[in-house]
Amino acid sequence: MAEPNTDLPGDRLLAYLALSPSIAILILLVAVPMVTVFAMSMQHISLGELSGPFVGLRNFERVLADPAFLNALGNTFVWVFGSVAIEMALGLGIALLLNIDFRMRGIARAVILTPYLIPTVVAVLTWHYMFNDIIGVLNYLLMAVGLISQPLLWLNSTSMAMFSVILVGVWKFFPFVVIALMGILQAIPQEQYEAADIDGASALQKFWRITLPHIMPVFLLTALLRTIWTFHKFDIIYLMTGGGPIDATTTLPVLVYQQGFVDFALGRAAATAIITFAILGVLLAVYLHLMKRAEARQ
Amino acid sequence: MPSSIWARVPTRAATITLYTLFCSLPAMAQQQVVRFLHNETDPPSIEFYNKAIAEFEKENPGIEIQMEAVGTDARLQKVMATISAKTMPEVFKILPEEVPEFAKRGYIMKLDDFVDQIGRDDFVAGSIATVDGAAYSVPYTMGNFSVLFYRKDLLDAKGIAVPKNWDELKAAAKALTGNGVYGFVFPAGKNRMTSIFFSSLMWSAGGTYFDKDLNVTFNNPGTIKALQFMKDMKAYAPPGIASYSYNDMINSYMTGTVALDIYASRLPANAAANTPDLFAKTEAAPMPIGPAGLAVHYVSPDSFALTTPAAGSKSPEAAQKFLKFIITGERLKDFSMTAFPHLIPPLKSVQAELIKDGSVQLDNRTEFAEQAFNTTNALDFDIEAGATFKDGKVTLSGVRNPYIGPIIARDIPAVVVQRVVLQGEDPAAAAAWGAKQMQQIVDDLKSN
Repeated sequence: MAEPNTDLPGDRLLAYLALSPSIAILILLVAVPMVTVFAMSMQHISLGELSGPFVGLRNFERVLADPAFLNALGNTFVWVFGSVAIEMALGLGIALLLNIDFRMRGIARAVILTPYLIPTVVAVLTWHYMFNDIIGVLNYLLMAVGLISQPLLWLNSTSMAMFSVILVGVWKFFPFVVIALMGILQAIPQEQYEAADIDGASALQKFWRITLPHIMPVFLLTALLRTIWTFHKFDIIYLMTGGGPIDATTTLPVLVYQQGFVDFALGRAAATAIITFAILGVLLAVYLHLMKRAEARQ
Repeated sequence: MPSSIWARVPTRAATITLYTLFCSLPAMAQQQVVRFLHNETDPPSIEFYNKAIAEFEKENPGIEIQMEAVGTDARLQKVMATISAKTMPEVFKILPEEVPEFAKRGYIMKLDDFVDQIGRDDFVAGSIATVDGAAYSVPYTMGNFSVLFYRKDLLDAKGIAVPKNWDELKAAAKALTGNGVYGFVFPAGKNRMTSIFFSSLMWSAGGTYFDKDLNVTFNNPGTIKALQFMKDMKAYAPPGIASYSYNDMINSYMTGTVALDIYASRLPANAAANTPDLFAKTEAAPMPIGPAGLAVHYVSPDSFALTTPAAGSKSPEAAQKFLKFIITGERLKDFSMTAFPHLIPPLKSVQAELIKDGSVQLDNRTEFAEQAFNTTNALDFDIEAGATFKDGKVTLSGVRNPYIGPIIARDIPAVVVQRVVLQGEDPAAAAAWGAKQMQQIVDDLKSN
C-alpha cells in the first residue's frame, strides 16, 4: 500500500530554502567555471585577456588536428591505465595481507599509509634524487645486486620516463586503495569463510566466491575515483619531467597547461580541456555501467 | 548580577574592536604594499633580499614589501598567471626577450627617466633591453654562461692542454672519459638552459635564429654543426643529460666525476662554498672557439620591470623607490657578492671594485672573475637577429627581435637538441623541424 502523503504545504518550500546555499555554491564552483571554459573555447584569446573574438569551433579543429594532442591523448591513457591497474592490484594485495591477523598489524597499516601523507612536492624531489644518473640510490642498489650493469635513465629516456612517473604515482597513491578496500574486507561476515572451510574450499576459491563479490562494488568505485583523479593529475608529471623528454610524458593536463601558460593560447587550452572532459565522461559512463552490473549481481 | 555582566561582554568587545579598527584606518590607508617577484632562490640571495627589505621598510615606514621567490623555470608562468587576473606584482624579474611583448601590451612602465636618474652612462653597453629605443626594464645583474671550467688535476694526469677550440674540446673529453669520469657535461633537458647552451654553440658556428629582417634562419649550417657537435659530445657526458638544467650543470660537476664544464660562474662560487677540495682543483679558461673562428658568449642581463597600474600595480611610486634602493650603490655590490663572480653588476662603477673585493672569497684567485666579467663577443636572444661573425668578432645588426621570446619560452631549441641527442635524429632534419616550429610561432604572433 502506498504511503500517504504527509507533506505539509510549507515543507517543500522549507526544503528548497535549506538546499539553496548548497545549490548556490554548486553553481558558483561548478556551473560558472564550466560555462566560462565553454565560452573561452570558442574565442581567440590573446595574452593577458580573458575574452576575445568569437571563432566558433576553430580552436577544437586546431586542437584535434595537432599531433601534440594525439600524442598527449595516448600518453594520458598509458599514464591512467598503467597507474590505476598497478595501484588496484597492489592495493588489493596489500589490503588482503593487512586483513590477516598478525603481530604489529597496526604498525604495518600505519607505515603503508605513509606515502599518501607525504606532500607531493617533497615526494617528487626525493624521487628525483633517487633517480639521479650519477648519485641516484636506485641505480646504485640495482648495480650493487647485479641486476643492471649500466645506470638506468629513469627520467632521461623517452622509453623509461613514463614508467618512472607511473612508479612514483603508484607509490604515492596505492595506500588510498588499501584504505578503501580494508574497510569493506573487514565487513565480510566471517561465517561465510567458516562455512567454506567446512566445505573444503581452497584459499583461491574463497577469494573468488566470497571476497571478490563482496568487495567488487567498492573495488570498482575506488577504481573509478582513482581513474578520475589520475586522469587530471598534473603535479607529479609536471614536477618530475615537465612533460619531457621531448613530449614523452606530456599528458592532456600538461598539454592544457602548456597551451594556456606557455603558448598563452587560452582559447585552445579551453578547447583541449573540454575534449578531455568529454573523454573522461565516456570513461565514467563505462565504469558506472560496470558498477551497476556488479551491484545487481549482489 | 553575573549574568548581566556577561551579557554586556559582547557589546563591549564589539565597541573595542570597532574603535581599534577606526583608529587604525588612516594607517591602513597610508600603508602601500609592493609585491616583489624574482627567481634568485639561492639562500645567500634570499638572505640579502630579506636584509635589504628590512632596511628599506625601516627607512620607509609607509611601504611594505611582499617578496616572492620562485624557481627559474617557473618564473614566467607565475607572472603570466597574474596577468589575466590583473594582479601582476609591482616589481618583477623580466628577461630581455620578454620585454617587447610586455611593453607592447602596456603591462610594464617606460623607465627612461629612471635609468637617467641612476646614470645611463654607467650601465654596461647593451645591458638595457630597449623597445623602439625606450627602456622598459633595468638590469640588476648579468650572467655569463660561457666560461670553461676544468679539472686541472685530471687534465694534468693525462697530459692534456686546456682545449682552445671544438676539436680540442672533443679530443680532451674523449681522453678524459672513463674510470668513473665524464669528460664533458652539457644540458639537454627540455628547458631554457639547454636553449642557452645550444645557442652559444650555434652562434660560435656562425648561425642565428633570425636575420636582420626578422626572417627565420634557424635551418642553417651553423645550427647543424652545433647539433652535430652536441651529438658527438653525448658519448663523453653523464647518461642523464636529457633532463639536465641549470642546477645539474653544477651538481654533476660537484660530484667530482666531470672534467670539463662550460657554464656560468655560479659553479666556482658554489664549489668554493661547498666542496673546497674540488674548488682547489678547478680552473677557468675562455670558452673554446667554434667553426666560425670565435666563441660567442651567452650573456644575458637579468632585469626588473615595474608593472603599470592598468596591469595591477597599486603602488607604482613606492615600487620605483624600492627598485632604485635594491639595484644601486652598496646593495648592488652586496647582491653581486652573494654569488661572486656569477652575478656581474651592470654598473661599471661597481664592477672594478667588486673584482678586487670579491676575489677574497675565492682564495684571492682573480682568474674566475676575469673570465666571468669578460662579456665581449656576447649575444642574447633578443639581439642576435642578423648578427654577423667575422675576424673573431660579433657584429650586431641593432635589431631587437620581438618574436624570439615565445620561441624560447616554448623550449623549441631545447626540443631540437633533444631530438638529436636523445633520439639520434639527423641534425639537418632536426634543424628543419625547428625552423618550421619557429615559423609557425612567428605566423601566429603576426596574425594576433
